[in-house]
Amino acid sequence: MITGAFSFLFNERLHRVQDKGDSDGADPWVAAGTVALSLSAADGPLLFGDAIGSVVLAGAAVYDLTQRVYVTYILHHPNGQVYLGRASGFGTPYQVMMRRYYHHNKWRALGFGKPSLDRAAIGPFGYAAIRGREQQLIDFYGGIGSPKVANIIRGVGRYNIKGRVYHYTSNYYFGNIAPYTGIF
Amino acid sequence: MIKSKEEIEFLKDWINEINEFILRNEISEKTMEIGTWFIKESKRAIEEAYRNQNIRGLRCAFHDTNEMAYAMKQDNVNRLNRVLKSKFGFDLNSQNKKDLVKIKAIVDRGHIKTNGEYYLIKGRIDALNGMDGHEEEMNRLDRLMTDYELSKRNNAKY
Repeated sequence: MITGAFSFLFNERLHRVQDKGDSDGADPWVAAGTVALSLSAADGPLLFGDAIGSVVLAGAAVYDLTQRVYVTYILHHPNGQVYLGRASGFGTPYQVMMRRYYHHNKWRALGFGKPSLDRAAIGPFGYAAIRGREQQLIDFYGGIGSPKVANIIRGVGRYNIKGRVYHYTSNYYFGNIAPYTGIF
Repeated sequence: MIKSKEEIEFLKDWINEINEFILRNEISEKTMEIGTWFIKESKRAIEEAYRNQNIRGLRCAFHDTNEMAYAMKQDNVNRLNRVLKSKFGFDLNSQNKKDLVKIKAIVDRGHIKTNGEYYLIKGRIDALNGMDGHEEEMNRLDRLMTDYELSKRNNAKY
């Protein structure tokens, strides 16, 4: 279980990651951070996603280390392109992202680096929120086919019958950054 | 045709069973609003796909729902597995084994053919990301994913 001091370290790490993300310029942190913060304030400490936008979780929450943490992240290319992804695992959101980044061998070889953590959440609804967030991130940067986006496959298939539910769950957790682009 | 109908019934029942379990066991005071909404809307989407006999949609939701089940606390995953086993005769682990057979076939082939296979590999990488000792497998799967993405990019017409 994550308690007290560890929780503090956890949030410290998130803030360092967030600061790094903000320094990248046009970053969805700016768009969604305010919403995450206001959700935290209204609902009290709850979700990892909230922690990214505020400090209210520090020292207040108790988490199960055996529970999966879901994250979205952004890889940056010097030419301005981005690769958007999601991952899950155990540990802090930063650790989860870095473990996934380590295995992105080809994208790294192609020059995609400087990974920045976007959002993180836990639990089944957190999973759904991260699914929606990954697709919203892709759409935020212009969508599949945009010269800005290196991804060539959608995060959530256009015909996924749960696509809309993921989208709105992401809105609830992190705020909306892009319109829904699925079919159902 | 009969086989498809049976599969559609099974997919609907399986997904609903997991949704019901999550509703009963994973909703706290803090997740009440989003949780109840999420389950209600998921059920609506499943019912609609069932009415339209949308087997591809249900298969996709089946895969996603199984993935989502692993987001629960480990105790609840174990309890859900017992519920599934008693109702269907198999559980999430059995489904994982089936996926592994498909994944092995893709790895042996050496390349991904469809987006469905891509999402399957992506899910496997996601699962392995939380475990030690699977670095080589992750590297191999990631290479398959990236090769597929790059090949699609080279063939893309925007």
